[in-house]
Amino acid sequence: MADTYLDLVSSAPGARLAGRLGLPAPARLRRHRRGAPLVPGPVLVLGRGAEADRIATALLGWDLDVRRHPEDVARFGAVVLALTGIERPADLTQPALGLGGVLRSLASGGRVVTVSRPAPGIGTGAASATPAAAVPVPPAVAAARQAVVGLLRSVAQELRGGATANGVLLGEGVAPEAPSALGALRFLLSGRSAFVSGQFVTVDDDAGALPDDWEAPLRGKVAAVTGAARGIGAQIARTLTEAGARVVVVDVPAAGEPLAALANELRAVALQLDVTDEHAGRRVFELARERFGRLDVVVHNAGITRDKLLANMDEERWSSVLAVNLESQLRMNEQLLAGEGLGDAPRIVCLASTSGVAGNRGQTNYAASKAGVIGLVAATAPLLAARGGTINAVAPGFIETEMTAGIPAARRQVARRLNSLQQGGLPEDVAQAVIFLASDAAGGVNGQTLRVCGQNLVGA
Amino acid sequence: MDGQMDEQTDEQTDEQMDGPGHGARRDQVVLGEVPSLRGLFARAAVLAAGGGLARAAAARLPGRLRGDGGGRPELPPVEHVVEGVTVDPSRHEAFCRVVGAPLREGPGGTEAFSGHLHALAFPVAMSVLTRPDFPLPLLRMVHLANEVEHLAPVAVGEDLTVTARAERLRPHRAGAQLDVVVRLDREDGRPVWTGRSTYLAKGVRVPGAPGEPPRPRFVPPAPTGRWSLPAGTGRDYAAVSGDWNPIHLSGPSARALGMRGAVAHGMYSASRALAQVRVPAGTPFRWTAEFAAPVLLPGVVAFSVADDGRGADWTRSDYAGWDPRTGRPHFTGGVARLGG
Amino acid sequence: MTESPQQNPEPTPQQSSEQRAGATAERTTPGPADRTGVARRAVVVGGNRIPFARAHGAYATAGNQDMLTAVLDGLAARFGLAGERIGEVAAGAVLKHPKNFNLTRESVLGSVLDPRTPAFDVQQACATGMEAVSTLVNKIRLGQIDSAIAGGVDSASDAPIVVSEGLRRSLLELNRAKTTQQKLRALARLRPADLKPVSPGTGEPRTGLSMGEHQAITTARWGIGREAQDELAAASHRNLAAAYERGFYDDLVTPFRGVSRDNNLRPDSTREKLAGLKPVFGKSLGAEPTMTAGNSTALTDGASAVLLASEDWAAEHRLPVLAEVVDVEAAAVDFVHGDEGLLMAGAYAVPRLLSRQGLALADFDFVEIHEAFAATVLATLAAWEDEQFGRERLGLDGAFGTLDRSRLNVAGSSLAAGHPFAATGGRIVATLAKLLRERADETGRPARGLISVCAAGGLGVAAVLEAR
Repeated sequence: MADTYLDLVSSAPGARLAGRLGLPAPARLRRHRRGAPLVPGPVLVLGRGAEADRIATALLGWDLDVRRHPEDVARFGAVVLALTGIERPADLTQPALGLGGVLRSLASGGRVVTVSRPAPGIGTGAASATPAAAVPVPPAVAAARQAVVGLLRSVAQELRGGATANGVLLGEGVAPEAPSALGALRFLLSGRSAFVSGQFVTVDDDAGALPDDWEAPLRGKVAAVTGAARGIGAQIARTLTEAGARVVVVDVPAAGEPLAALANELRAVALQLDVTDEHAGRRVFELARERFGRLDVVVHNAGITRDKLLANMDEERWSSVLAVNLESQLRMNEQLLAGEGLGDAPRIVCLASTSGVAGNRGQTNYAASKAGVIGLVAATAPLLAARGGTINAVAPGFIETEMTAGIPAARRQVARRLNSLQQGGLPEDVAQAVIFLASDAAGGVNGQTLRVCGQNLVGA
Repeated sequence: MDGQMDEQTDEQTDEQMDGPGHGARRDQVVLGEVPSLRGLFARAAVLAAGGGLARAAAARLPGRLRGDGGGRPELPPVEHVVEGVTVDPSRHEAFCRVVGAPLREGPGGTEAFSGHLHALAFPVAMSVLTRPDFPLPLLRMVHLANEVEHLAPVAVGEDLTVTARAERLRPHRAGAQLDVVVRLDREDGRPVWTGRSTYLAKGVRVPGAPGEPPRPRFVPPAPTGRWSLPAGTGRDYAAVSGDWNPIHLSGPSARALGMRGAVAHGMYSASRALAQVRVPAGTPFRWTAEFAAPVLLPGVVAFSVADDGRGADWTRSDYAGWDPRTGRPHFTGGVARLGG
Repeated sequence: MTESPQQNPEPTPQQSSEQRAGATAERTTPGPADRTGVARRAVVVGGNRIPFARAHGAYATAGNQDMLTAVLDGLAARFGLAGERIGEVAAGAVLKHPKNFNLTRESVLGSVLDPRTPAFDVQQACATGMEAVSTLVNKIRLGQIDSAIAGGVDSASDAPIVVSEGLRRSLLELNRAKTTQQKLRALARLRPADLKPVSPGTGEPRTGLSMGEHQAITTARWGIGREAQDELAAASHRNLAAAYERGFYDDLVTPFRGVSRDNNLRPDSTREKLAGLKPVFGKSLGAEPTMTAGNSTALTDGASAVLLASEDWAAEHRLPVLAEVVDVEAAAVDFVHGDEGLLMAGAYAVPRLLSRQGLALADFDFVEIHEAFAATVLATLAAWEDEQFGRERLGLDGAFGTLDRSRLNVAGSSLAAGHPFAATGGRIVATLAKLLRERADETGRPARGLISVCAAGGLGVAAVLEAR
C-alpha cells in the first residue's frame, strides 16, 4: 500500500524529475497530529459585513492569528471567505479576487474555506435533506450563492502543496457561531480534513455543541464500529478511541483474530457478529449498554466488494453486496431506532463511496449499494433529528487499504492520481471525517454525505 | 506312571527340598562364588555359529546315553551350593526397572522382587546344567514352565544360601524334560524361596511315554494391557538376569540356534506379569508360569491379568499373554496367596 | 485448622441454603456448606476458544503457549480485559514440553492481561480443563479471588519428542561422572538404538493399551453396536454444524491462524457415510470390531478458556453471567486389571454428584458427556440404565436412570469439534453455560446442566451448572 511514487516525488531530485517530465507532483498532506497548530500560519478572513466580523472573532477565540487584510504576511495558513451576506453575483468579485491575490502565498497544507448560504433546491454534490435549503430566495441571491460552489470547486483544483478548499453552507437563520457552523469550519481548517477537498458541509440548525477539549471530541461517548477488524474500520475504531470514545468493535466471526487484537490494543470490546444477522442491531446496542451503559455512536463501516461486469453478474454476487453494504444498515437502524438502544444525541455514520456517487465500471452491485446508503442517510435524517441525533455518510474515494491494494498496479497508479490532491487517501482521512460527523460539533449536520476523495475528478 | 508323576509334581516340591527326595542321595558341591554364565554362553554361541555346537552336542549326548547301555540316562546326583549370596541393591533395582516391577518397602527394608531372586539363583542352577556329567545340550533347552514359592519376604541386601539341582528327567512329546530346582535359604537355614524350572531338551529320547495331558484350548480373555517389546528386550533382560543365551540376544545369534529370530526370555514375561499383580506386602505366594509359543522380538503381546479381589480380599490373580493377531498363547500363569 | 468438625459441625446443605437465601435470590439446589453462611456463588461469565484443528494441519507450527496466549487474548478482547489483573489463571496441557514448565504463567505474560496476574499449571489428563474450573471456582467461593480464568491447551502436532530412556540415563550418568573412566563407561553403555527419538505414545502407561483399545474392551463388554456409535457421531457433527449456523459459537470462538471453525467438522456427516469406515480399534478382541476413525475423536490441536467470577465482580465489571458452577465431583476407576473400563469414571462421578445435590438425570435441561469415543458416551448411558450396574457398582436399589437423548450434547461435542485433551473441559463448560443462559432467558426459569468428562488414568470429572 506504500505509495512509492509519492515517496519518489517528495525527494528533491525526484521532484525535479517529475517536474521536467510533466508528471503530477503530489504533496505530503497536512494531517491532524495531536498538539500541532490548527492551521500552518495566519488566517486571512475575506468578505464584508457583520457576519464576516463575527466569523473573524470566532477564529480569534481559537487563538489563531487572524487578519482581515493580506499585507505583511508571507504565508497564510488559511483563507476564509465569509460570504453569508452576498446578494448578487458582483458581491463575489472582491472576495474572489482577494483570494486570488493570496493563493500563491498559501502555505503548503493550507486551507481555503468558504462560509456561505445554500441556493435553495440546488444540490451541492453533498446530498442534503436539509429543510433550510428549501426556503425560497430571490434569483440574484440564489445565483450568487450557487456561484460560490463553482468558485470553490475550481479553486480546489488550482491549489497545490496539499492545500484544500471546502465550504460551509449555513442554512437560513443559522448563525455563524452556531456550534456546527464553527465545528464544520474548524474541521475544514484542520488537518482532520486533509483528504477532503472541493466539498461543502451544510449546517441546518443550531443543534450540537462544541467540545471542551478539541482533541477529545467524543469523551464520554460509547461508539460501535462494524467491519472494524481491518482497514478503514480498524482506523475508525482507533480514531474514535483517540477521540475519547469507548468502543465496541464488530466484525464477522471469521475476522475474529485481527478483531481481538484490535480490541485489546484499544481496550475495546470485540463483538463477533455478522451484520446481516437479523438481530445485529439489537445485539450491538445490548452489548454496548451491558458493558458501557449506553450507545451514542454507530458507524456502519462493514462492506464487501464482489466486482463483476453486470453482464457476468450472478445473484450471489449481487445479493451479498447489497445485503452487507445496504440492507444490514437499514435493518440495524430500524432496531437501533426502535427501542431504547441509543443515547440522547445518537449519531449514526454510514460508509458510502464515491462509486455510489459517480458509478464505477464493474461495480454495479457495489455502486448500487453505496448510492443506496446515500439515499438511506437522507431519508433517515428526520427520524434521527426527532431524537436529537443525526445520521450522515462518508463517501471515501481512493483510499490506500488492503482492499485497494488488490487493484492491478497500473490501474491503482491511475486511480490514485485522478483527484486534485493527486494521491490516494489514508484510512485515517476517512476516520477523521467519521469522527467529525460522530461528534456533537456536527450536531447541526444531518442527512448529508461527505466525500473524502481529494476531489476525485470523476463524478464531481 | 507319567500321569502320576505330573500329579505329584506340585506336592513333591517341598518334600524334595526339605527331605531326601525320591532319588538317590545327593552330594553337595559347595562353590566359592556364583559362577558367571556370560563366558559359557559366549563360547556356546561361537560354537553354534560355526555349526560346531550341534556337532559337539550330538557327539557328546548320544555317547552319554549310549554309554549308559541304552538304559535310563542319569542326571548328576549332586546339588550345588553357594553361600553368602547377597541381594545387591543396584542389581535388584536394575532388574526391577527392566521388568517394570515397583520397588516395595517392607518392615525389613526393600523387599526383593521374586523375579530377581530367580535371576540371582539362575547361574547356580546353570552350573549344574553345565557340569561335564550333565547329559543334555544346554543351549537348545526350552523353558517350559516355572513355579516359584515365595515363602517370606527377602530384604534387599540380605545374604542367602543358594542350592540348586536337576531332577526328574522324563519324556516329553518333543523330547525329554527335566526340572531344575532351586532353594534360597536365609542364614538361619529357613527357606524363603523355592523355584522349579521345567526345561525341554528337544529331540532327546528317554524311555517311557510322554505324560503331559493336552493343554485346554486357549481362549484369549479381554486384554488389560499391551506390551510393545522392542528388539533389545532380550539384551536388556540378559543384562539384569545373567541369562545370556544367544537365542534372546539378536536375530543372527538366535537363528544360528535354529530359532526364527530372537525371542523374549520366558522369565522376562513371567516377571513382568508378576510385577503387574498387586500382591499385598508381606504375603507369601505361589507364582506359576507356563510358556507356550515364544515371543519373537520385536513384538507385541496382548496381556490380561484378572484378580479375584483387592488388598486383604485378594487370594489369586491369573494372567496370560498372547499374540493379539492370532490369539495364540505365549504364556499363562497365576499368582496365588500361600497358606491361610 | 484448630477446630474439629465435631466441635463445630458443618451446617447442613439445607441450613446454608436458607442462610444464603436471605442475602441473595432463592436457589433451587443446595450448594456446598460453609462456616459463615455467606458462601459466594462462582459464575461463568463467558468463554473463548480457538477453533480446534486436526493435528499436523493448520496449527502444526503453533505451540501450546501460542495457542493458550491466543485464547487468553481472545477472551480479553471479548470482555474488555486488556490490562486487567485477574485473580488467578489456571490452565494446563496434557502433552507438555519440559520447557513449558510454567506454561500458564508464560502465556499470561504473553497476553494482554495485566502481567501481575498470577497463574499456575494444572494437569488431570483430559479432565485438566474441568479441574482448572473446579479449583478456581472453589477459590472464588472461598473469597480468595474474585475473578479467574480456567483453561487448557493441547497440541498433538507439536508434541514433545524425548530421547530414549537409554540415552537419557547415559547422559545423566555422564553428567554425574567425575573421572574420565567413569565418563567413558557411561558413554560405552550407549547403543545406536538409544539415539532414536521417542514420541509419546497414547497408550496408558500402566497397561500399554491405547485409549481406543481400552474403550474397545468396554464397548464389547456393554455390547455397544456400530450403528448406535455412528449415529451418535453423525449427531455430533449435525449439532455442531447447526450451532455454528445459528451463530451460537460467534461469541465462544475466536479464529486462529486463518481457521474460523473447527476443521474436523463434517456438516454433511451421516450414519450411512460413517458406516463405510473400517474399524480401527478392538480388532483383536473376540467381538466384531465397531470403533472407527469416524466414531472416535481425531487427534486435534486447540485451546480454550473460561472466565469465572464472583457475582459481584461480574456486576462491577458490567459483565454477563451465563451460569453458576454449582458443584464438581471427580471419580476414578480401577481399570488396570480390567475391573472397570478406562473411560467409565464418569459413570461413577455423576451418580455421586447427583446424590450429593439431590438431583436426578431428569432434572437437567442439557447434558454434556465428552465424546472421547461415541462408545464411551453410549457405554456410560448403558451402565446408568443397567440394574446390575446400579446395584453392584453404584450401590443403588436399581438402575441409576435413563437420559433423554434429546438433551445430550445438543451443540455438538468432541467427535465433531475434536478433542485437544486439556482444552475440552473449557469448551464444554463455556458451551453448556451459554446453552443454559439461552434456555433460562427463553423460559424465564432456571436451567440446569450436567457435564461428564472422562480422562486417561481411569479418571472422570462431573459438574453441575445452573443458569437463573
